[in-house]
Amino acid sequence: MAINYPVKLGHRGSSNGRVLRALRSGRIAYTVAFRHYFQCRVRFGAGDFTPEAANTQTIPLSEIPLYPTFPGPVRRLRGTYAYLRTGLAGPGLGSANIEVGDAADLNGLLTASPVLPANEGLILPTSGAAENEPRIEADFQPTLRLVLDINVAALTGGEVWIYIPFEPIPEG
Amino acid sequence: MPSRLPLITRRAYLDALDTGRYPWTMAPRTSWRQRLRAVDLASAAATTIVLGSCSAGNAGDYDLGVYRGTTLITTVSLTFGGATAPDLATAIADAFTAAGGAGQPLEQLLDSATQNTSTFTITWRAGENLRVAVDAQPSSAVSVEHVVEVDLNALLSGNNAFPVNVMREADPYIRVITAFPAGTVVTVDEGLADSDVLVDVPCSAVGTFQTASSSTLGEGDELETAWEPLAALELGSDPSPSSGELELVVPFSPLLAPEALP
Repeated sequence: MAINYPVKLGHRGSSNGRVLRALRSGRIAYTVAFRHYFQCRVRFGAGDFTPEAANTQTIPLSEIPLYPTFPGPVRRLRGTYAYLRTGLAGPGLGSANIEVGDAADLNGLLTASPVLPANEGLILPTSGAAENEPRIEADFQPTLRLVLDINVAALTGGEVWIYIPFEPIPEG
Repeated sequence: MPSRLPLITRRAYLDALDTGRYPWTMAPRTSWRQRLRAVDLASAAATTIVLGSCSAGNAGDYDLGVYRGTTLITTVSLTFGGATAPDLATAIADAFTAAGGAGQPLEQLLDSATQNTSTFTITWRAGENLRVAVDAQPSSAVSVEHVVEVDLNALLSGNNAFPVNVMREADPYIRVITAFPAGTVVTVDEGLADSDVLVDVPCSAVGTFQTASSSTLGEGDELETAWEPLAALELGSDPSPSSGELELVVPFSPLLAPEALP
């Protein structure tokens, strides 16, 4: 026999307080898992990573200081996006793109997206990216790949934020 | 090594969120809910469109009545002397365009009348919920049906517009509270090609319904910076049903950014 959900949802957030109270009290007897964001800020020419004398570089986001690594096991969700706070700068820079993925698929989450000053703001998700669909990740190591027309070591500025949504899964 | 999460038995998880032991920002899925009632089809947020089709180009006299409810406003009449369906569609579109000209009976009501091969489209001005009926024709060559497009962000005076800069999540649905007339279906999109999130969802029975199509944007999550959903109700011969109420439910979650989004 079906059991009615123990809280009736109201309009425009009017029931959110009741839901939270019911979760805390245990009246909602189902495990809750919210959507969360793994976020990481990468600054260029600022010592966040060791730049290479090459036009492309793959940066493991787990090595960027100050930000918690991607957790696991979790269910990674669709919709990886980025925010370009400051466009990349460097002498002679005419083309700059980022990709987000992991070592097995460097652009699996976000395909080549321009990151010049003209592109500042939200960088929209790539709906058709190969790894965009939700999946369980036990040990996901996200990467940021940089593709420039100058050496990465020549960059003097730029700041990009990466956002990868996930939700925890029940254990135990 | 990946970071370990607190076990998400509900209390441990909520406590970890509450105390900051959980270092990843939470963006809970919420739902945008917008009601659409039969009476809204005549509101300023609604545009009524008459879709006509000509199956043959029979010569003769045609009378197309324009009604508000059951009240006849005017009759658009034409004598067609051509021979093909596209010619007839052109003649009807031209007749409506003429009737919407300066000093003519549809001047304040008609937005446009166009023809495309053997079909014609009559678009009324926003809020003009008018019906067209083929009152006379030499043989059964012309048929019409009505679609009402409602700007869902404009309903309720914009107090409940879909939020900007959010992640619209997959699988929106409708909840039919009061049934619309038999055969009524609703499509939700932005009025652009390939922008639909719900396609031809039946709303002639009370219940909860998802899209019948698998080829829509409703399948995936999309980052929306300014989503402007339109609900298009296909209503057959009568664009002003006496009853019907549905609620569109679109899940979404907030975005995270290092600074305030515009």
